Amino acid sequence: MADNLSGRVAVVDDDEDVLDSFRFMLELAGFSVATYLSAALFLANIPPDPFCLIVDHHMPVMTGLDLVARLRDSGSGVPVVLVTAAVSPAMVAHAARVGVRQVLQKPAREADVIAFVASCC
Amino acid sequence: MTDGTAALPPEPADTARSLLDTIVASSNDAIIGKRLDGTITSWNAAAEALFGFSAAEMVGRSILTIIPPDRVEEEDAIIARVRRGETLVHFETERVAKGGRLVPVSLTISPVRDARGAVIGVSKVARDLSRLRQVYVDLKERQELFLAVLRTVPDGLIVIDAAGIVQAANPAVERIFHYAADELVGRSLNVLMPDADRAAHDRYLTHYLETGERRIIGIGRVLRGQRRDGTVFPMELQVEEVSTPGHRLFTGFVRDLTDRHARERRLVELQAQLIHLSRLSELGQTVSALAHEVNQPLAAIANYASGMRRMLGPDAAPELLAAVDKVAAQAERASRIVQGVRSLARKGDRPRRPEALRPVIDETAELALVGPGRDVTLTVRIGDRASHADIDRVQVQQVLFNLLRNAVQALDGRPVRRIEVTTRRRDAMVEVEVADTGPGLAEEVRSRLFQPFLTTKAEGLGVGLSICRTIVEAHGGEIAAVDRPGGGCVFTFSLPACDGPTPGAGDRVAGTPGEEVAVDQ
Repeated sequence: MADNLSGRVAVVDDDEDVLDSFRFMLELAGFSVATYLSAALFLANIPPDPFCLIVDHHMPVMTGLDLVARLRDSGSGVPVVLVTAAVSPAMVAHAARVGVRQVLQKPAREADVIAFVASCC
Repeated sequence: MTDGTAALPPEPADTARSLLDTIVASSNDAIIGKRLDGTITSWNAAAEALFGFSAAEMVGRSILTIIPPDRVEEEDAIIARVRRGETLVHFETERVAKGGRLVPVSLTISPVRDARGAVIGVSKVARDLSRLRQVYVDLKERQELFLAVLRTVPDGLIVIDAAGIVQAANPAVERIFHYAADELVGRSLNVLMPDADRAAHDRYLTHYLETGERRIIGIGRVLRGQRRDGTVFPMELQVEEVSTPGHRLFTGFVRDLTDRHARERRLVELQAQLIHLSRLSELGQTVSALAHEVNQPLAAIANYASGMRRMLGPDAAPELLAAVDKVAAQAERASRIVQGVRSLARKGDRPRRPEALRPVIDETAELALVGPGRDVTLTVRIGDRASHADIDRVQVQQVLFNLLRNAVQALDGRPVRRIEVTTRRRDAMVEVEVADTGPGLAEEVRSRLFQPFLTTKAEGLGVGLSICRTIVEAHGGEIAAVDRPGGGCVFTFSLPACDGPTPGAGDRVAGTPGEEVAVDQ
């Protein structure tokens, strides 16, 4: 795989191990990675543009889609990929409404994730 | 006395005469003597009292004095018969008292003969019928009042004798069994039951008559009734003994339970379906939760393996590279197995069909609002192009049932007890909203609302809402909860919309009593 990738990626997931594995994979691929255990923690520390966002949907308090809706309301156009264990037509439709670029089934293939991140950076 | 015989001396004629006079004078019946030409020859005290004329006034006068003009011919006929030696017994007619008042009387008229047997006069015994008549009129009035009251009894009322023969039936019986009351009178009560039950009913009655032990008398029983056309229906029969001197009668109160039974049966069926589905859903939910939980470490494994593969680079030991690839491949395989089990669990789902939401909501509300939800005001609003959805009806009813039941519980002790169910179209989905006027959601509850095994209730597993989420997601929809502006809580879930067979029709049908129906938008 090419090692000349760069760019900032933010990952939001309520599972610490999943976050750690994303950091491991994405940093080795050449990206700089910031991880957040909840939507609230992300909103409190939004990284400076440009960056792209990988977000889990099923999170307590604020779901991934809620977070994206909040970002859009505040005027942010950050590219987002939504990762979820249960992909449904309604969720895909909802995701499209709030401007999610792609919905990936969890566990997501590395190639899909890298391709998305690379396309944004 | 002088001839020394032991025989009783013959009673002197005047003694016999005075005895007769005493009897006549003290009789309660008016006794009148008259000649064949109608001249009154005697008039006793009871006659004075009955007609108001004294003996002094009447003796020597014509009997026509007390005969109404329109009954003179009747008197002529009577006299003619008496002349022939006939006696008339209890002949009912009317006579005129002093002042013109008509008196109903019962007459017994006999000929009076002379020593040779020739009819020379008439004796007339008149009994006052006015009190009897009054009693009869009163009785008739009371009977009519009684019958009028019976006609208003909503339950069927049948009077039977000790042999089970119908003596009377009210109009409700006619309505219930489709027999006219007079068709039933004289027939056995058991024509109102299916053949199979007749013998048993006859036994109840004989058993009671023989032993006094109650099997059905005084106790309501649910039996099968049979209408005239042969249809059998559930009825409640309560038989009571009527104690009247000289009669042994029984009254049977009949209540047609057809509607109540149909309703109860529907509720039981619905409940059974929900329980069955709830088990299926709990299984589905467990699998779904498991899939989600297992997917997290699988995602981590896949990510670590990808990172390691990159880290090792092309120059690493081929065995190591192969092993890392195998770790990734095995993680992917495990993930596929989880997805497989998940879709297997969904195979228990029935096929989806386009359904009108209004009846789905109404039927579920009927079940969810029993008991503590009885006095909750429910409003259902069906939105424009939001009347039908492509759903598994029973599954969606379970979601609604859970949400409505939660809402009812949230309304416990609240001053305003209202639930509003609203549907609205949103792109390809119908959103169904269940809003209540309860206290709203506690923050710590809301964050974990749809997770299994979280509950705020003393009883309950806390799987209700997680099942709802499983079902809604299986329909390709989403479920969410928010606080309602002004208090309370709103659950919203989405279902795939479809256009009903006749769009718009059926949405504006009035609901069951106690519901308001409004149309949104």
